[in-house]
Amino acid sequence: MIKLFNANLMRLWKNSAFWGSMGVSLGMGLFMVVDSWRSAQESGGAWSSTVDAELFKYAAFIGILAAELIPLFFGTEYSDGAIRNKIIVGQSRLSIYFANLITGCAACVLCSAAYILGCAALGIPLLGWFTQPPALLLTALAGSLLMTAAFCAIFTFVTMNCARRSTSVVICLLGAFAAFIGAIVIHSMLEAPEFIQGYELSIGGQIVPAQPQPNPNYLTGAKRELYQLIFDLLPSGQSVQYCSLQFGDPARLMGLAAAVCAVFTGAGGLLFRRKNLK
Amino acid sequence: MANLLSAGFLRLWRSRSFWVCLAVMAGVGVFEAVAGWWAMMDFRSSGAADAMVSLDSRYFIFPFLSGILLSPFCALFVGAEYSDGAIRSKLSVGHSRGTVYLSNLLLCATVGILLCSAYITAVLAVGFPLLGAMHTPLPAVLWYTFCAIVMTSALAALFTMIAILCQNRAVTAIACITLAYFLLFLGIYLNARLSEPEIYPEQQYVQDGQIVTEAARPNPNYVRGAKRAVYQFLYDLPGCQTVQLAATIGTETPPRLPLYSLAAAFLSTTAGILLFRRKDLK
Repeated sequence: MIKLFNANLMRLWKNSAFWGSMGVSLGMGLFMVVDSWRSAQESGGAWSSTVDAELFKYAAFIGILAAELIPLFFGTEYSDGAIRNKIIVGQSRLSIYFANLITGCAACVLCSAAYILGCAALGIPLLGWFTQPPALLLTALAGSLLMTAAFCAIFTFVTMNCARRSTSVVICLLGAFAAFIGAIVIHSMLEAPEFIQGYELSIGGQIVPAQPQPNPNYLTGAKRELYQLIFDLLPSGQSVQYCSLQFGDPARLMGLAAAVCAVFTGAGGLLFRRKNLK
Repeated sequence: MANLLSAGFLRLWRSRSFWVCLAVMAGVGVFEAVAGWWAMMDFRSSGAADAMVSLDSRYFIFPFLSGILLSPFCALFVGAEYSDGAIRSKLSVGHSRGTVYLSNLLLCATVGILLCSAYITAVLAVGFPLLGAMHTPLPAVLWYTFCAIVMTSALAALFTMIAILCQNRAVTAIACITLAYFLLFLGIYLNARLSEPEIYPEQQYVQDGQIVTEAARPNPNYVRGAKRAVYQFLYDLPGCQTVQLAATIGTETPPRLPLYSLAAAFLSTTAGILLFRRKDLK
């Protein structure tokens, strides 16, 4: 397993897709800070930004990067026949699966680190020191990394059980974008106000207060709980929460992300053991 | 060319990705109609004053999906020509590179039109009995549908260019899918920026029991000058047009949109053929 992991890391180091993803992450970190600083300057002091607000925005795109990087990197193992070679030299299928999962997670954590480094290196001089409590930032960091691991577990599951690299790229990428759009839709449904406040009228100088009307789109009861569970369970839903640093119960989010990791890794390992590698 | 097209259609008929894309489009059409009916029942049971859900709101969704589903199809279908060595075979039996390119383009554009048709057929077949007739006048619906189909064909031209110039099928899939989503999100961003009012109108509101009047003031976020022209140009491009089409439902879709789509298709096809002629096919 350690040999497999070392070999994967060596291949990762020479992989252009990995360095491209690192470049994109670093560039995004710098761009977010500059864009935020420029917006603050243009508003003439009416609006200000902090480095904290930009620090976890990598959660919004790390899933897309993982959906491109993992099938591209590990799909090559099928097309080049490397998986069969590994099995021939005596490695077990499970150790191949776990080595690939850990390598995928390591690559995505490095991409996240590139974003955070770029953001902090430019953000602290331009936007000032962190304003949020360190405990909140550390919780967001741990939670967003666990969310990244959940993304990696899902994409490794698809890649290791799909022999065609192009098909696994399509499934992962379309799935990632669809999950993000789904998360945004659920977020907007959960954020709908319970009551719609009407306009207050002034008739002949007399102010007539409007009665708030119940919003038919407001989710209640079991339906609301179900939508909240889906929003918290989806790694894309978690990314929306970490992105804005507005997450309700971090322990619940981390527990659900760990559950996603465990379920997909367990199912992926079992399926990969039975897979006909031709 | 006719031989290439008939061979292409035969391959298309047996292509799994084609049938999956078609089934997804038809499935989403059925789902949208049923979801609309479900929402209407929900509103009625909660006693909402306006409990109608129109078929129009469900019908006009298809341009959002057609480009996104077409992107992996083009990458997989055209990319298979490289991985199977079919392109070299076609050239070695005497077909020119231009005809090989154009036959692939026509196939992808046809698939784009079929994807739109699958959604339209499904949403109308299920939506009409459940939600009733559409409220938008028929000429406006037909014009919108025409603009959306021309835009989908233009996207097919863009994806064909990428797929035929890149020999790696996985990289082609990433490029096409990312481009489809990028254009969609760019359209949403540009719509928000271009819809900013130039001047915030005078406002009156109640504060501490007193009516307060706030004078009209210019909007600092209003995009003007050359920047606005660039934004408008990008907003008219295929892909971004999807958002513009959705935003102009019920008013009038600008006649320039299909012209922009045709121009984008023409330019990308010309550039694609020129580059493909010089490409080393190894």
